[in-house]
Amino acid sequence: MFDLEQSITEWRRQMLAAGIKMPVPLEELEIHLREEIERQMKSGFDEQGIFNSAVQKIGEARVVQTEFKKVEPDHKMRRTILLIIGWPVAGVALWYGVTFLYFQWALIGFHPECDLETIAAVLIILAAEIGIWLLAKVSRYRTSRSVSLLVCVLLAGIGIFGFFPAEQKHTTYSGNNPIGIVFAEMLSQPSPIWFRGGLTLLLCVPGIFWVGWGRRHLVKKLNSTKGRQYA
Amino acid sequence: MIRKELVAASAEPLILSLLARGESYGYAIIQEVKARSGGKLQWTDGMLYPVLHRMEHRGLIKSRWAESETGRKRKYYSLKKDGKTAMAKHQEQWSLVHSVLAGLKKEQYV
Repeated sequence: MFDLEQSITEWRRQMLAAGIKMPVPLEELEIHLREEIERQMKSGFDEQGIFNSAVQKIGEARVVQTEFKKVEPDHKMRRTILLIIGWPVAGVALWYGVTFLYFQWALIGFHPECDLETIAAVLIILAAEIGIWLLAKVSRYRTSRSVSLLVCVLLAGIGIFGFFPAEQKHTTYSGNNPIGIVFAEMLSQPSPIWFRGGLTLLLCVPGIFWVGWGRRHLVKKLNSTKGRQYA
Repeated sequence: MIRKELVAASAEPLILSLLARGESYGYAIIQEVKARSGGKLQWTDGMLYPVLHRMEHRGLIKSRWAESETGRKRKYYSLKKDGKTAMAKHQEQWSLVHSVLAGLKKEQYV
């Protein structure tokens, strides 16, 4: 049995999935849809046929959203300035935080202390990670997004590598170079597992964001494909 | 049917000209255009709203929410001063194109 209200709710869901998230356009489109359904009802056709025809007249959700996107102000200049300043700041902050925690505590193998410097380094890393994630989200440039993804993969790699001190010892030592030997000797006293685990998790955070974003993007695309049956 | 490029190009002048007669809302604008063109000028309904929003963003029109006589909430659009100027400009340009075409057509039959 065809339920008009349920079908309208489902259509709304498809529109939201396509990205029409602003309440005003969606409300306007729904009012338009209802007006069209009401007008056609007077001609006495069946409810489902009328609904399908009205939805078809509104157009495909993805196409309508593309048109709405063109209306939104671009702020290209502001975005470029943000990227020019944001990337170096995030990069330096990440470099400082990671080298401090990773090389001072995890790799060289000292026992970490929960002092002010460590807390500051953790906070700096977190801020930089949020920064590189936001820079990828705000930016509409593919290069910026690719760099962000690359940095996140690199961070996750460093984090996972740092979790296995024995592996580090083997790798650094097998190089048979002076630096490798120094690191290997220092690894005689690896940091505790909770610290290495925490550090790995910390460095994998932006990677987790990316996986989550990818999943949402995929679901949205699938929903939008499903939505075409209404258009 | 009229070509989609022409439909797109004529959307703004038509909306401005319709709103010059008084405030209106999306659905009514579409119905009016359809009726006046004998159904030959058909917009994809959903495309009208981005155009209206763009025009509002550019300061050509303004909008307000109000309840219709049936109790349904509607967003009514009306012309602003800049919109009147833009409409005059559009009408001048379209008239020019029309007069050139009409002149050429006339020559063909002479």
